[in-house]
Amino acid sequence: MGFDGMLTSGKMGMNKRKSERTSTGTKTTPAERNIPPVLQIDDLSIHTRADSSGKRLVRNLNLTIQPGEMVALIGESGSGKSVTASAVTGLLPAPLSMSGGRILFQGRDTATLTSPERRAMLGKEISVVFQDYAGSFTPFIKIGKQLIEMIRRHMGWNKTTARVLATQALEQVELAAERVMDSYLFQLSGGQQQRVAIAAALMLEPDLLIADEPTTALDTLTGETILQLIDSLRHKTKCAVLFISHDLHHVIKRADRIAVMYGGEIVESGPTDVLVREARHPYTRFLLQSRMDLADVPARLQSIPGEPGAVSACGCPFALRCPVRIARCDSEAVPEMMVSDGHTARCHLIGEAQGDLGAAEITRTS
Amino acid sequence: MTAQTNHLLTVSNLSMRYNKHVQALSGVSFQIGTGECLGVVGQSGSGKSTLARLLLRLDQPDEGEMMLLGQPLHKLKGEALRQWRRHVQIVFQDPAAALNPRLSIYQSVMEPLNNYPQVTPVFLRDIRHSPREMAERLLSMVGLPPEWLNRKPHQLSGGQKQRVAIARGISLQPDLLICDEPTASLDVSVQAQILNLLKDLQEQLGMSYLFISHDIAAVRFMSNRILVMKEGQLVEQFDADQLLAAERHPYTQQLVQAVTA
Repeated sequence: MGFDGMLTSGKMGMNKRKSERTSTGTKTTPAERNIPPVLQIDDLSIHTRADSSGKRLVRNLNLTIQPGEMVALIGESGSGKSVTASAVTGLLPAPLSMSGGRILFQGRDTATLTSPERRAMLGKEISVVFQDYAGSFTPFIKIGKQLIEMIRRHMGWNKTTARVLATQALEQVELAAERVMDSYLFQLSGGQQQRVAIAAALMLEPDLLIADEPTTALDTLTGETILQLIDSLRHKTKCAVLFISHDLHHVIKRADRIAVMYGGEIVESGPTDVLVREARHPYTRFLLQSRMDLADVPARLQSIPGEPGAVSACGCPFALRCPVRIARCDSEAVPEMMVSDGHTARCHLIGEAQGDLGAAEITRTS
Repeated sequence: MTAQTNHLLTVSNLSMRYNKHVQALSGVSFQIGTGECLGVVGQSGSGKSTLARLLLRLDQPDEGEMMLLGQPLHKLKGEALRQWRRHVQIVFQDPAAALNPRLSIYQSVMEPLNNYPQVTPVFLRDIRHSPREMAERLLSMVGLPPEWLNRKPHQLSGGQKQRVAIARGISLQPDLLICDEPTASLDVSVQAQILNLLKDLQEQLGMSYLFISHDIAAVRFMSNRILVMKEGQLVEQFDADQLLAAERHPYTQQLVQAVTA
């Protein structure tokens, strides 16, 4: 793909020099190193106002996703997960703006896209599945008509060919295609609606699927089948997935890598198995501990101390709630530090008193 | 199950249909002991919320009996029903919808007590002359600062709103508190806090709970016994510590597998 030339064109002036430093968290195997990432986010910052004067919602975020890879972005409400996804699609709501960094999709800076180019890209090369599945469709037009319209818009095919593809897409998500095509949205259950949304998102074989809390509004079993579906389809089509969730438990099962967000920063990221075994940031450790165990039920659950959403204005965003913080955490910004190959964390205690960050310590002080 | 005297609620053969096609509940029987938490788990559409609505008498069952403290809840009418309502209270899934956005926290919390002026819960008896103090104590019981009484719901986070809803739920010291997916709309870390709070209050006040959720882990944590429902029918009921036992129904095992890696 000849997008490389685009790198140097367009609105590069808005990018900070720091963006030269690509993410240290994306060391890949030699085989993968030749493949360009589907998505590369460098040093992304988002403010509530265009002139960087407002509140900073996302700061210095680095993230890459390789073809066929599922990367999970997790964190509590307001941590900046969905805002990051909106920036990728170029759909940041009005007052919010990218105040730094760049987003490369297939090597191409998305800031340089014109709106027709962006419209052509969304739905075809980048698809999104939202938590609010009902919002993805028009309630008074039959599902089939909407799917066919979407295919024709992007591919320019005739109705008959488009119908064949739409039918196949619905069959892939294990729906009775003919019946669903002829239904209105309200005639389907929540799980079925979300399946249709996934069918619509994947039928044009996008390079990137953004799944923004796709199972939060569904019950456990239905949610599980939806995730299985996304997982099997991404293996089939080599589609990269950015999976956004607030539930660590859900993502551990599926994601290749996990990035943990707190207060607009990725505080830790790494391969899923490494992160589960060797989490270094106190927030990640708390999240891991808050998973419930069906066999061993405690008298009281481990909860994260402090006020949810409390973000320290300077220094480490988690400092206000962290039981093991030191003086530096309140004042000094934490650089991204490499823990091991592909595993990075932003915590002042890494490399100093690593032993003190043990699970026992956190439990004792919380 | 043999008849025991300490049963708070005995439900037998409860059935309910919304129309010709939707049999929401069919032939459900169970009991809740005093101070016990009975968990109800099942997918969307399994009849969990219908069960809650019937116990609140928001809907009328087609068949079956509900005996609360020896009284036939399904037969009560008018003032008698109104008087029994205070024994069964509920905490809903969405605290934003449960609280009137135009009322202050004080007004929302005090509404049940104002509706039943003759009721004074044990934990408020010493300050029953002062509504303000009662509201302050209710807030502190759910871990909120008493100064927040003048706030409006929009000034609170989701977890804080749910605490207000719980304060209101316990304000009449009900015998049975129904929790219908009380943590489903909250962040994981806040969920743990709310579940801990519900457990604290249950021990403190000796209430019985009907804890409804599709999250089997939360149900396991909260409950003494668990009832599994599917398509309006009772799949099985068992002691919570028997959740992982080999003899569990395949459907229950499926629910367990969905949350274990």
